[in-house]
Amino acid sequence: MIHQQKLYRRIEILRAVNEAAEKFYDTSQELGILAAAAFREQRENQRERHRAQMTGLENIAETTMKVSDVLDYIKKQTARQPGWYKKRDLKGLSDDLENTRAQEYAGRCFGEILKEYIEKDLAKTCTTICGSLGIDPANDTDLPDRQQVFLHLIRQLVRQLVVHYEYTISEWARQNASETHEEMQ
Amino acid sequence: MITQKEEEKIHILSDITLYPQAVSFMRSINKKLPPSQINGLLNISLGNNTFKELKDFVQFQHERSTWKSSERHIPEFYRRLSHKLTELEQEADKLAALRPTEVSVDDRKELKMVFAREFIQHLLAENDYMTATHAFPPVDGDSRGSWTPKGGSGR
Repeated sequence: MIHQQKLYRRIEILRAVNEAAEKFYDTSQELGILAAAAFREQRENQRERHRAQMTGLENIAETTMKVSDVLDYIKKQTARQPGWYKKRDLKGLSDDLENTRAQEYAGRCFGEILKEYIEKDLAKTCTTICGSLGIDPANDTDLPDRQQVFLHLIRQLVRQLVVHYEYTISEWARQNASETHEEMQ
Repeated sequence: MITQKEEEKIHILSDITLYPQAVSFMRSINKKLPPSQINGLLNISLGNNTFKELKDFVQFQHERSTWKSSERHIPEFYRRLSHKLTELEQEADKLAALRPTEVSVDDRKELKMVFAREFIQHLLAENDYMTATHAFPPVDGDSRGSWTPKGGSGR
């Protein structure tokens, strides 16, 4: 019986997280574009390393049992990798970023934007989902479920972000190749 | 050996308590730790050292009299960390007390070290992040401007 209840709770959590993921799809798209822009100015031979960092972010999100591990990873990457800590001018990106929040991102680095989105916006979403599912953070027995909600949200966000990052990178590469071809003709 | 239930509890405590406490801790120190101190703490917390060895190291660093005036925040960091380790020891003992059977001395030591490692990991990540985002005030003679990061600490 307890096993069934746990299974039912897990399904409820996944359903609620999937619904929330639909709603933050636009934001994860922005973050993916920001990630692509953050590494755009790096040399070609460094792009594979940046792709590896996105893979690293995905790996930690998918495998860790702690939200704080993901946040620590973002912090360390922000400290070590130029693409994560460099504050980039968003000029030229605003055609891609339709959301007015693009102005909020100006003057801030990718690592900071991602960390704050998880700590504030995603945390709020987590609280809302927990409220709707009767998961009470004041109740010790409910804390594992709350942690699971937050982790699932982070995983959805990172998956979407990385897909948008890969798509944006390949689109820009295609555009560059096309422009180069036209110039040569 | 730490039990699976204990591991799950530590994961939760790490997220809801240790992480925000570590962020507040670093922000209250408000000066960056140099790489030598970071490496020292990492080596002693991640290696095969005991909790006692970690506490002794922290105590030693706090009591050293060879710090320069520009490094005054470092012994203060270790003083506060020493207090924190005592608190974490008590948390580990509380967790151990929940076991239905007697906890061995080794298991108790391991629990304490796990708590300490979690906290130090969060501390050092926050130190790195605050350095990268120029959240620490500039050291005298440092021409870089500083800015206050947006938002509060932790979650």
